[in-house]
Amino acid sequence: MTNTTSSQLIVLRGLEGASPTTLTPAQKCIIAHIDVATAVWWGVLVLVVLTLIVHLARAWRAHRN
Amino acid sequence: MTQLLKKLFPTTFDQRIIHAYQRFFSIQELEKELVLKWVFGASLFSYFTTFSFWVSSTVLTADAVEKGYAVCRPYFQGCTDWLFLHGLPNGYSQTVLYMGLFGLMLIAVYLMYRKEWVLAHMSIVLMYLWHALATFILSGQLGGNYDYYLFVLTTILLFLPHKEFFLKLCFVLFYALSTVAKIHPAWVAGTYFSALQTGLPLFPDWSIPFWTNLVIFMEMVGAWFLLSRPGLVQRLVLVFFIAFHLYSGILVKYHYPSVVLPTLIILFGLFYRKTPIPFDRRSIAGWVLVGLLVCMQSLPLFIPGDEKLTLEGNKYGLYMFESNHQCISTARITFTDGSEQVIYNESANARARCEPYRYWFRLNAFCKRNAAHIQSAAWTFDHSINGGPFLRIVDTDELCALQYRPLTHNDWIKTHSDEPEVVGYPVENIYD
Repeated sequence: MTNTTSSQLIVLRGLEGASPTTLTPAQKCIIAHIDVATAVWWGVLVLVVLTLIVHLARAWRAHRN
Repeated sequence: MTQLLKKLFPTTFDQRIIHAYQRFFSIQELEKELVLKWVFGASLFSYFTTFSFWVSSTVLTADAVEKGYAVCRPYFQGCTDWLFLHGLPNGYSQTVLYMGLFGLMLIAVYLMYRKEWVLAHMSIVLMYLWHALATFILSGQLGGNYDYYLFVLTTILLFLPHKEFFLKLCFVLFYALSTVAKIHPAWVAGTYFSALQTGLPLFPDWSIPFWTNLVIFMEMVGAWFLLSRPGLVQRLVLVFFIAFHLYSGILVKYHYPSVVLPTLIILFGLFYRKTPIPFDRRSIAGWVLVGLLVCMQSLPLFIPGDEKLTLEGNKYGLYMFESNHQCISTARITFTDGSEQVIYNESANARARCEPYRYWFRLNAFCKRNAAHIQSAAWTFDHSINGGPFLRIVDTDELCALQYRPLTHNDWIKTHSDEPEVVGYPVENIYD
């Protein structure tokens, strides 16, 4: 005897003819270049961190003088 | 020494201890600075909003253990042995505890009114300890991002020197750290919101990537201007973040904005002034905390695989809106008498993180409770993120033998490089 808990709510489209959730043209363009887009943000983050380190180093030097 | 302190601690020995307590936790800063007094009030309000949610939650109770839905933190999987409270309707201990904390809040407000900051500090420390214990040790289900904010900000407010500076720095740092979780198609392409039936609140679908990338930019770069000299730029950035938190409340409702907005407005609006960067010996504790926050946020980057798919290490740092999740968990248990039970769970709620760990923890508890009667147990776990395909990231016939390691990749959870089977595509889901 099989006892199943809970009921199924999620609708699966299946595999044939299925496509991911609708994307706008801008999203399709970004997704096509997602590696570049994420690399740009990582680059900006690195620049922010470097700027903060330089700012802290200057403040530290001013503090010591 | 205030009059009430002298009455409560009359002997010289008592007063020495109070002085040491005052010095050790830099309470004189609290007594002197109006901005800190206001943040103290805001923290009290945050505890009120947090505990008003916890008082009705059952996840910290022995009832949750008995019914099999308690989940511990991955690094303390034995937490269920320590849960002893009983919530309504099974017992009174949980509501007794929270009404005790409510009484303590009233006392703290009275002590603030009397300017008895040492005693007010002592009363809020008890709330701090219970909040920290519950968030990080006793349960794996209570640690929302707002709890991380509350924990870190009150740690600074209550215990560290240079309170005003480190409160401001860590507040801004939180914005920047949250972007580490957002550098992902969920935000860079905005697929989190286009996968929702209702889309991004108030704005048309075509504008989703613009808004999501604007948020990343403001949190990563713009937020630092909250710390700049008082002027137009500082005020404009403040207005942006106030608007951002009010807007995000359309989805996250009151809890998050109630924890974050008052402190944001107090620190960077009402009482803002540029605070010099401290480099003295007393500032070391604050800098160590900053380093720890950065390390904890970076931790998932060192665990192989897509963190958003496997959710390994996801909650060691901020994880707000990191991805839109849907999942299906199906466990087939065959008992020694030949009968079979299917334990089926699914979630179509974008907000509910589909951690394989959480489902495994509950199934593992089931295995332990029924160890003598289980012949075999198979388990599949299908996970879709941001409207992408459902990937079968767990497929095992050895459910009851699985172990979960908290700091490394678990081989039984597949990531993209393992090329997990695609089992279907989801329709647009909901945010609840």
